[in-house]
Amino acid sequence: MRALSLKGVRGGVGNSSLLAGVGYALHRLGERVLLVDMCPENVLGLHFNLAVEERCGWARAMLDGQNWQGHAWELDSGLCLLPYGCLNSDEQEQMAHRLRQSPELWPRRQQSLGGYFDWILFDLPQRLPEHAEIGAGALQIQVLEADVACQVLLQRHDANNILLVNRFDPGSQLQSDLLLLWRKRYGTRLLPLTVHYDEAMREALAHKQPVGSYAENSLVARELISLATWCLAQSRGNL
Amino acid sequence: MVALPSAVKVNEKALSRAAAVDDIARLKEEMKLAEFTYIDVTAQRELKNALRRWPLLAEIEQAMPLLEPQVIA
Repeated sequence: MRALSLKGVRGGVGNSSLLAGVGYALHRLGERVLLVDMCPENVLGLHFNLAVEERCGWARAMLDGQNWQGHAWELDSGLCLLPYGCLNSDEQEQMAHRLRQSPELWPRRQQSLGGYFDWILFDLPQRLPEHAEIGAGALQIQVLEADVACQVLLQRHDANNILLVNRFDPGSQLQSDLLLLWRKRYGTRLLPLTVHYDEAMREALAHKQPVGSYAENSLVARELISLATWCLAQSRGNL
Repeated sequence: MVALPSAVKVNEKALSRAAAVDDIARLKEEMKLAEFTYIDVTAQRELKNALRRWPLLAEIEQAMPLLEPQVIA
């Protein structure tokens, strides 16, 4: 089992949609995948047709004293989703406190699930940093858009992870210039693969589907298959 | 059934191609320029233009230099 996490350099870079798309692509390539929503915003499930009103999830279950494993959804054979659940802001703070008290919680859960999945994918939030403590063994990717805000934030809080540019528009002079600078500055840390802006990504969420299911032949769906293939190569030590 | 070319032949081809494309290494060897450092002038020029276009990027570059000083100037 391999763990993969995606975290935006800032909010609003399309992290959840990207994670849903990569998870779907890995499953298309024959992998057994579990997607875990670590974000109190609880939107990952919407990419897989969960109801907006659905309140259950692992964090809700923990606070209610229930078994967290019982709140996963089997979307397809070998493709499962574990939502965060609906928590108000006080409850989110309580959960952060519990995670701070038990930093081994998610590494231990990964071990217990390892036999059932080839990949566990984590959608990590911006705030409440305890929610991003999933263990050191994960392949950690920071997601950014080619804009100056991401450039500034990256320099202020560089976590030294792999960098992936999302929603890239090659027609933009500024974005092309930033990519040029980043290739020079970050070298191989910046994935050679860039995910282009594609309206299909936004439409896919409006249809409550991951983009590979909604628009299989779109540019972005093909790029996510490439990204999933890169992940497989990483896990097999081929790169 | 088809007969594949022998492994030795394939390797020879690959080697000769690799040697042919590494012009810069061959030139350094030929001219005895062991200390010669290759600079991609076009890429440097593009980076310089990029910094001229966007003042905030230039300011960030000044704070955390990435390029050779003469490129930023």
